[in-house]
Amino acid sequence: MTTLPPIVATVLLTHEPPAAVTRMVTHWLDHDPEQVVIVAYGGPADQSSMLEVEHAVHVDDPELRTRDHPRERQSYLGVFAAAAPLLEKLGVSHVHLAEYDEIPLVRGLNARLLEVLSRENADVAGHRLNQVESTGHPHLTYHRHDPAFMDYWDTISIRDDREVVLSMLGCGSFWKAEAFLAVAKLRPPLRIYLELMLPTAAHHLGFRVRPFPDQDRFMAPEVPKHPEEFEDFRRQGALRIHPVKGYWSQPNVHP
Amino acid sequence: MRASLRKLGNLYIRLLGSPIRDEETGELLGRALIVVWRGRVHVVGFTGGMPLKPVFCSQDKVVYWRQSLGFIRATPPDYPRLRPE
Repeated sequence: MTTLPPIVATVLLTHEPPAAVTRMVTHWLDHDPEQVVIVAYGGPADQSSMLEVEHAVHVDDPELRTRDHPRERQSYLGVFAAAAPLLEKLGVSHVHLAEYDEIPLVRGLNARLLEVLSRENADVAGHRLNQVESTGHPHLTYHRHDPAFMDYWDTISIRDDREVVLSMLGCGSFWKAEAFLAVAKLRPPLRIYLELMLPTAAHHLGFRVRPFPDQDRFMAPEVPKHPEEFEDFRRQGALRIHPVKGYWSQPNVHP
Repeated sequence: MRASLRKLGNLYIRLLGSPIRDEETGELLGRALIVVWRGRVHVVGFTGGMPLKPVFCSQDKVVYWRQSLGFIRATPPDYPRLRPE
């Protein structure tokens, strides 16, 4: 039996103008030409039709367009549902979920991400991943106020312990396509913030969810990063960094 | 105004807040104000960022009049895959 080589899709979530989207897709492909880049576009529909990229899906989901993400319980399920048919059509084996302000710093990034997944024997790997059901994690304590939150895991779980709740950053998570597609099919009866929804759903569906070792500090959303720091981050071992705001709106800053 | 108050509060906690140590490893996790109000323990302005898990601390002798509550760091999950291959 022959094993097919992995096909990695980077699902790049953005609402930037079309010219900036072209720049970011070019940059991602330049860093890993073997990958498929699928733009999950959350911007206006008229801008979506102007995108000049090979693969794009429009995400028309009010649950994605939040301002105060945790309090409004921002959801990526619309992104997952929009990307899923294309991922299946392309025969993708793995999915890297990236936000527009995540910047790859090394060439051959996906080989490194595949290595982590293989080493951890995991189906999903994510940043800032913690088991939080017995903690004071603010997203957990907020959601747990509604009994429907814990009831939901009970309805979908195939595990013995249905009380487990996980939290991780949505940005930078790396998935086996099987896990991504299984989560994409879910329609919870309440809105659940993506940082709880994605890892906890994958866990209760029976997938193994593990952390990315030693990379969390490079992805910390509360610490803005700047282009002049890229080389320093690279030297420290960063594979990618987040968040870098405004990077793609400047035509000449990226190599 | 609100931002200024927040900055001032953060500075106060960083300088004078109680050190929060992991009860198992001794690692300094951050600082916070620990306030007891109406029978609840409130952790205010924790600087560490990670989720904290409250635990009753072990004691080297039987003490009936006092039990101490401390904290440990949340851990990453390590559960096997249960999907059919």
